Amino acid sequence: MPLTPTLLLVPSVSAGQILLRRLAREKRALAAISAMRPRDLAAKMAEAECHALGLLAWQSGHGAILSAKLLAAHPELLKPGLPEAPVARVLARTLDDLRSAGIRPAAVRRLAERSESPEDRSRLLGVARIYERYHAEIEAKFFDETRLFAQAVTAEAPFLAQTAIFFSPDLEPRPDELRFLKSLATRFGARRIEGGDTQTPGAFPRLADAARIPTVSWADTVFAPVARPSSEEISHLTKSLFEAPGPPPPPPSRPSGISWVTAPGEASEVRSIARLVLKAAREGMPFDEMAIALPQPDVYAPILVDLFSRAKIPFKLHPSLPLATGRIARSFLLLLGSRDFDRGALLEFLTFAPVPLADKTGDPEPPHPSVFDQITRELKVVSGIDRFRKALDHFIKEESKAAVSLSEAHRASRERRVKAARALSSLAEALHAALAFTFDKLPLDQWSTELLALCNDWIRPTNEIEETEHQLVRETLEEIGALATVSPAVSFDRVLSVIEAQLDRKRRPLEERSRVGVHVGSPEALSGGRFRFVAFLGLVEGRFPGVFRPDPFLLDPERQALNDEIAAGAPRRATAQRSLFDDDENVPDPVSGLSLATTASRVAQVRRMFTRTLGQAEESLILSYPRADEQTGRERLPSLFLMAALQAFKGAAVTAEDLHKIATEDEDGHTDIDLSIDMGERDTEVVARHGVQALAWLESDRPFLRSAHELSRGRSAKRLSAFDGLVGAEGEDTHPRLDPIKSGQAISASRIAAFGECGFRYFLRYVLRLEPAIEPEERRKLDPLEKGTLFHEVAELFLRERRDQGGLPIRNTEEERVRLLALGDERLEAWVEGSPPRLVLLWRAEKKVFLTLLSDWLAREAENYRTKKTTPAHFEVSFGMPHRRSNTNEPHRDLPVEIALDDGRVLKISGQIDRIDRIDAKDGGGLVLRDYKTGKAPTDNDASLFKGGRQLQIPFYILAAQEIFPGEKVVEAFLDYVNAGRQVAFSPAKATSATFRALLLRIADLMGHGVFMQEPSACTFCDFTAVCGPNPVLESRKRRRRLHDPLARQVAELKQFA
Amino acid sequence: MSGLIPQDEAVRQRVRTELGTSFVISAGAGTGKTTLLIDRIVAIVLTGHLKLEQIAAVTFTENAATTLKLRLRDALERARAEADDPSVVARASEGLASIERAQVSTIHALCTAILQERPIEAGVTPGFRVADEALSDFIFEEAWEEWLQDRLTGYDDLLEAVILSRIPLEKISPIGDPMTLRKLARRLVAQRDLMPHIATAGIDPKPVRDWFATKIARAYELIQEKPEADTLVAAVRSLHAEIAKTKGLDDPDLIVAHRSLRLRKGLGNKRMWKADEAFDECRALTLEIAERGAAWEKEKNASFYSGLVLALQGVQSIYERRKNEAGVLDYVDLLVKAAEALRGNASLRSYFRRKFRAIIVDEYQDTDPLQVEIIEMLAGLSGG
Repeated sequence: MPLTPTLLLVPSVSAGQILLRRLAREKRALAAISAMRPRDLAAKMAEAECHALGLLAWQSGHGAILSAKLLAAHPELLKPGLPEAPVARVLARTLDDLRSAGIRPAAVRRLAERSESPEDRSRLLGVARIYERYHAEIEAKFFDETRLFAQAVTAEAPFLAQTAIFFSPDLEPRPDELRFLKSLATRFGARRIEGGDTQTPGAFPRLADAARIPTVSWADTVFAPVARPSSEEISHLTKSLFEAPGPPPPPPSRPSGISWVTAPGEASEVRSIARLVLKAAREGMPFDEMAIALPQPDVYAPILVDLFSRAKIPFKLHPSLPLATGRIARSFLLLLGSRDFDRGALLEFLTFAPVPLADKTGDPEPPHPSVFDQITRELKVVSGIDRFRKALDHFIKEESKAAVSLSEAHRASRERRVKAARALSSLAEALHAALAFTFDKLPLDQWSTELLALCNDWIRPTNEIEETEHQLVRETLEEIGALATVSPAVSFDRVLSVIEAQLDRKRRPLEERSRVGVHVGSPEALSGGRFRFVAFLGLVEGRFPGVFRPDPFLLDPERQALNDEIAAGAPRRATAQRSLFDDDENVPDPVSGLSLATTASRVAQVRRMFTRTLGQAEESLILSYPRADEQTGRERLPSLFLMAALQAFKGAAVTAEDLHKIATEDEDGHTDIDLSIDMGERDTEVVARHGVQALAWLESDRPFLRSAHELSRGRSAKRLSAFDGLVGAEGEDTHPRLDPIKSGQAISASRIAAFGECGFRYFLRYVLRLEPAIEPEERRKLDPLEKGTLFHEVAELFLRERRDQGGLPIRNTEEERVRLLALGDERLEAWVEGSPPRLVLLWRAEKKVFLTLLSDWLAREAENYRTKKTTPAHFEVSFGMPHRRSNTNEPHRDLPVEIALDDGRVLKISGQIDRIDRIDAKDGGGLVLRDYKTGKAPTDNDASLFKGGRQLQIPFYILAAQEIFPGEKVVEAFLDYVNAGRQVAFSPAKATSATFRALLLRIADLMGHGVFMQEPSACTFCDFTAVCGPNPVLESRKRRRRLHDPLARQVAELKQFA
Repeated sequence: MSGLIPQDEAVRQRVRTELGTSFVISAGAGTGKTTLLIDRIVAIVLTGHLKLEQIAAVTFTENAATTLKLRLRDALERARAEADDPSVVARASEGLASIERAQVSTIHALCTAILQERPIEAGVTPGFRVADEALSDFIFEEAWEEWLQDRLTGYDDLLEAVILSRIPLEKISPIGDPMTLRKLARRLVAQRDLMPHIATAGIDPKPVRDWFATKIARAYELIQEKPEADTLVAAVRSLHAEIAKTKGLDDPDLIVAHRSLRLRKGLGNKRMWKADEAFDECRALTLEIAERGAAWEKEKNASFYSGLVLALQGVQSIYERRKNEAGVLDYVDLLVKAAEALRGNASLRSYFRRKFRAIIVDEYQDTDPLQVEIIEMLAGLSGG
């Protein structure tokens, strides 16, 4: 083993790690062997020196900020109305290219002056002026990569003196980087390792040869044991890629090491690759020797992470995904997004981000964020700190008030809610105070300081990887501050756009350095590594390679002209201290061949990258493409690169038809059950092979599968099952707690009606006691339930007041109308006290509609008296329940109504009658009962007694009224649909009929036997439809059950009770 | 079949060989038009007439563009493999080397290329993204919400009139967006390259009301001492009462009052009147009033609609701003802005004419006037 320290310069951080790991596996000593990127070496050599010169580090996002500032003075480049940030980002890339290529501002100015068209001249002059300022600012105050490389060319580096330095043939250096590499060769005897493309202009090996960098073979380095050549087949492919078909390829190995895969979409494509990975692993290939290159990591990585995790394939995601997708960066952006106190954004931040809740709420045992979700849902506040404050205060006041009047057991629960609301209130206030600065216009260093404090204060990493991400986010925020000297005070939006761009540009760190598994990442991230197995995904035309566009600030011919000027420039000066930005004439590049990139050279660069990636495979190479867009279903066609690869593989011109013939599709483990990706796939195949007997065996071992299968069977069965509301078992006696008779308790009339409308809803609401979780929205109107409740309250208040003041009957006078509307207005205001509506125009219109409803009702009431002589007499008359304290002046009956059913059992009913009117004695006397209803009045012609359960309360009220007012007769009873102004009458005689008793018996039996069947006709305004499935499915299920299930038939027969 | 020669082979051959001549090819489906286009492109490249990147080939769909590109690649590969002439081999190789950059695309993608290559001159955001339908719907949704919220959180007479007229503001259902204000706004945004057809002059209700008052007063004179049971008499009495109510009412109420009259043909019984001329005049008057009323209602509706359209242009402004902020252009922008840029900038036009020396359009019959204008400007047929 070498005693000489060895340094290998590689194109990616990952490449170094992979090579060193390989060496370790070969049981080679790793001491004194290291691998790093040229940029990192330059930093080691020159960073301290740059700092000593008083220069600040220049970060990638700085260019955009400085460009934005400089652009402001150039309307010829930034047209009015265009956003500054994206224009500045594009311009920053152009300026960075110019610096990297060593182009001086004077050259751009000369180019502009030579320009024939006035538009081009104006644009180029603008670019030249900005570039002059840009490079002057950087030169004076900062060190960017260009400066770092230039500084490193001459920097003292004693630690390299005895080091053997090698360049990986896979490097893709920038022009300034190439100069640095050349200097390493000159000063320290660095050598390029042989291999790679020595023919194509722009390829590193060719550039290195031109720069006379000496070479060495892998075999002569310490990396010899791990630098295995690719198979002959793969080598042939990469050598002849993008070339005219040459000599025939070697006979393919059996089986071929190169595979062509296609799939209907990205997810199935990843599934195919996962199976091939499993297959290779089964044949003995370590996961760590495999790599998956994703040219579109943002699309593929989430799919792959999910699938590989399920398939339990170990993998290592190399820095490919934007930092913005990591938990910490995302949390920070969510934190900034909470500044308007939008409920959704705030709750997403609180539930997703690692927030130090104990600190922020002042509660050592803070509530779980889900409690905040529940409370804010109830508050119905959607946005704005003021409305949050008001709503929370109101909530705390009301809950505290309610808690006082409750028993100890119930009080504890209320008090917990109050405590949670207080915690949320503290949290909201703290957050509001912490984010207040974002509404100011601040200098960049102050932005940096404030944002850093915010990030440190509100986001606490919970593990090592989050710590690293946190550090990267903090660095991003620090970088913003470095530009304070070149930019004036800016607004939050500008800073946010820079932060977002930076978090998008930076990559997430490696998840775990020690983790071993399949290497996954973008081709750039994996670049330089060697693997036995490489899969390249997503080879679709238009996606990879992407679309190549010229630089709009410096068009291709202009770039070429600058390159030509360099090539034909003045003789090179022999000086080591030359600045890139001396104001003298052009100096030819010491390493010719690399200069300003054009569209054509970028295409060539991507081709090289593709070739190199394929060449990273030693034994097995897989190229794949999805045939369709999974989102749109549109057909996709193979990439031109894929066609080129196939042509190189075949050694002859090929067509898309040839690809279709050779490409294989995943078979879902049909042929090899051991390659199933997950248990679901495996079980499906087992059942397909061995029939339903296998299912029974599988179910014995898999409770989840058993439940899922039972659910599936139950839902599609001809008969009712436990999965759609049949709680009792067939043949069983009725259940005491479900059976309204056996339970011995009174059941409310409204519950009987609810069961009549939909048994399943009754089950969810009254048996399971589920509450619908409705996402609050800005109030646009009163929902039907609210309108009904409000109407009820106002009507009752008004009528009681009139009655108690002797103001009945109703006459619809101006005075009455004014009073009624005043009461309505008052109640409406009180209704929204805790959550004032933000959409005032809609609220005003809704109020108008509600007040019109009241006016119309008053007119109807007056008309009623004129025609029927009915006068309101009693309100909220209750029976079978405790007498309300606020209602003691109304008649009441403690005992429930008892209805003797035909089988001898007794059903006890409780309830509350909305209103009872009396008819004047001189007009015949008698009681008139009404039950207020909201929503649309029924328009069907259902003549049954049952009427879909909608009117089942009324007969109980008739029976109760006869008990409460003995000797008086109920002459009329109806449902009063106030919105529609319609009344639906119920014949009082029916309440004592045998049919009604039989109906009750049937309902009690169904309840007792746990038959809670779904009723599709009741879905329209139901809050529980999410758990029921689509309405047409319910309809068809109901029809099927009615045919085959006696219990379902019994439910269906309810409407036959006429 | 391979031995058969099409009857129009001579014409096909002209297309393959007369590379300096423009052609319009019209033929039925499946007769080989697209193949002929490929042949022509290949011929242009292999004869050295032009380089591949100097040709713009326009297709109707993205899929057709990709297919054309793949077929072009195949044809060039074949030519390279089969040619004996080293210069032809070199040109085929050169074409294949630039195949990724070849402008073979839809007209929208061609406009994207134009705008992305010269965004500064075209006045668009450099590096803009193209908003597909989903993204443009999303941006519209944001713009609509912002516009609506601004109005709903303050006072807006027009919107209040919309709400009280029970015109739904928005209603998204699984089967789409029925006729709502939101849908009208969406349509206006989607068709913003067209001028909305709206009434421009405002209307004054006063002369209309005066006209009604005069006519009704005359009819009222005619029914004096006529039998109450007659339907014409009853209608005129009702008219008289209604017009009295409209004094001081604003426009919408006048309409409501008019609607309640329900005038129809055939009112009245001439025999009951015993005065033929008075009856005829009265009936004619009611019909005249009915017609004028209906016309007035139409005018009112048109005026209300134009008010709405003008107000909804606010949504469009927000939509434009939001697109700008997001750095995106939608499909309408691509065509409109590319056409504007070419039309208004001679040097830009000449730049792209130099860049695209040959233009080949597949499915030309499916292009719209704006697309034709763009193609003609690129081809030098229209000066802009």
